Amino acid sequence: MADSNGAKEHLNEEYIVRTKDLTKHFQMGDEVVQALKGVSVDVFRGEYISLMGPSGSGKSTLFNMIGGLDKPTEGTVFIDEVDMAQLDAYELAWLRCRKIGYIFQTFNLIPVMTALENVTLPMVFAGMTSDEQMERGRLLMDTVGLGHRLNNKPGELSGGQQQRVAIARSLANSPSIILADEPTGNLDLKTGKEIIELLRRLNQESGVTVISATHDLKMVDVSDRIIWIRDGLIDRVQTRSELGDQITEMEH
Amino acid sequence: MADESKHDEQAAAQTEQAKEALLIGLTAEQRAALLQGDRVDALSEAEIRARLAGNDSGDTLEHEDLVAGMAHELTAQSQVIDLLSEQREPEGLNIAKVLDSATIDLRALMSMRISDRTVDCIGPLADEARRSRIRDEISLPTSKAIEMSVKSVRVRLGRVVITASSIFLGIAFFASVRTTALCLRAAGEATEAGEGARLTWLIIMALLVSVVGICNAMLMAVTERFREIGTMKCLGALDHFIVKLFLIESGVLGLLAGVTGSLSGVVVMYLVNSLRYTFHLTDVIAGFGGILVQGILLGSILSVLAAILPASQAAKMPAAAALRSTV
Ligand SMILES: Nc1ncnc2c1ncn2[C@@H]1O[C@H](COP(=O)(O)OP(=O)(O)OP(=O)(O)O)[C@@H](O)[C@H]1O
Ligand SMILES: [Mg+2]
Repeated sequence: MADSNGAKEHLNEEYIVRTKDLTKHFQMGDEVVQALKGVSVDVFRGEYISLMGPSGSGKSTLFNMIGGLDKPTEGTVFIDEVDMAQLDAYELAWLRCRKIGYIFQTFNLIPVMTALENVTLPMVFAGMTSDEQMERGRLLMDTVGLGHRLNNKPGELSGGQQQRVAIARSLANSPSIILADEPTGNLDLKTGKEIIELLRRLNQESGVTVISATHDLKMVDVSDRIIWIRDGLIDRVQTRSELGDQITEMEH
Repeated sequence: MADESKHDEQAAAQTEQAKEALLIGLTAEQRAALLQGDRVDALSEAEIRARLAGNDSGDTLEHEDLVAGMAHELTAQSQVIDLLSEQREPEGLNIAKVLDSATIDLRALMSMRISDRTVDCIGPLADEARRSRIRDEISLPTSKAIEMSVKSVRVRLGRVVITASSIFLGIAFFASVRTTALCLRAAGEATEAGEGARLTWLIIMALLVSVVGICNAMLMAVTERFREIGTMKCLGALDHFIVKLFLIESGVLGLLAGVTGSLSGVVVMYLVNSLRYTFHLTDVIAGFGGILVQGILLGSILSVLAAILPASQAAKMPAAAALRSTV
């Protein structure tokens, strides 16, 4: 596995995500929390990136900035070399709908909708006809191995199955980036492994860029680069080849 | 014949994609230099290729690789599309089968467009036309919104009954006061001077109270669903989709409460009054119809009004904040 994951040939050395000197402050009463203190990261198209770091280090905050879910206090996020701050509400929605797929620790499926309806919701917003929605929805549910649970509500599915529905949903409009915030955080070891395996396959076979915040060391195995975050700053960035021995060290 | 035109379409789409692929690898500056004021869609693929070949400045630009990569992707893609269309048999699509026989897999699935809308980057190429196209590419059709709202009301029935009860009571009160007045008039009973005005005030007060009630209930219902709202925003919902969904939901509630409230007000007060006074049903039946219509309209309109504030406040929330909420 190490070989196939190793030095990945980028189709072209093109940045799909860039952040420049990102800072984010939260006002908590009188106190100001500095969640990010100047983070610059460059992500190539097709990379698998893990954001790692202790709890409270700012991973989710960075995730929100990159995903256009929150605005930075200072600094810029570029997606496909477009400054996100320049986008109006429609363009931002368009970006979230078609360009980025989000996966969360808590799955965040809509509880009153069936699995298939959850998967097709982004396609509704994208204006697909309902025939197309059904066809693609089924295809995606098959891809994540849940073709037989189309009409179950999230409450009737296991955590791992819910996360797979969420992954299918994130792929609804063929995004170029998948953003995942601790996708395995609420899953047991084995199910977590399956989810990581699925993300890895998507990344390798469809070339989608994956950026995942995680505590999960299993993730290290499949990542092209690991960005370590500490205290709102980038601690260090490691590529797979630099990691080699360290993983085994960490695991023991 | 039909086959041929399909082929042409496919070829045109592939040329489009090849053009896009040629441009994808470029930085903003390179694109600008390459295009020199021309619009992309006015250039042919061959022209772009020629210009790329002449453009020596881009040393980071490995367009040979790019073209090769894209060619591979294109064949993969058309293979899958072919396979998918062959597979449209009674037993339906089986992705596993498709993927096996194609020896290419998710890559093609992901680049396959079921819709023929072109989905390219907003990118530095965004012009006014592109911007207005983006506006058309994000939508929530009203029919779909109604379907979603009705489903949401159906699934949350227990919760909904509580939310709707205040408007139900208000409308029932309105209907019973009006019904009693109608019955008295039909029976030839005189009402005191000023009685009508006093009752009108009572009705207005009752309706105000129920508006405040449903506003409060909506506020709670919306708060409970912050996370759902945040999720929808991640999936591409605009603020006004959220407002639309909640207003329709509230309207459906108001309609239900209006129908049941005015019906029960009219029926109960008709029975009560027919025991005390003598009058003919034929004299009042038309009036009852009017009261029902008024009650239903009032119920739906008031509950939509009451939802505007909570819904628009919730929709305005940044997605990250909505997702963080743990209510
Ligand atoms: N909306 C907010 N309001 C106030 N403080 C916040 C907010 N969001 C994050 N913070 C603070 O910013 C810091 C970084 O939080 P963040 O959620 O990004 O950490 P994290 O690395 O994702 O942690 P974990 O691994 O536990 O998820 C924390 O100190 C947190 O308390
Ligand atoms: Mg976090």
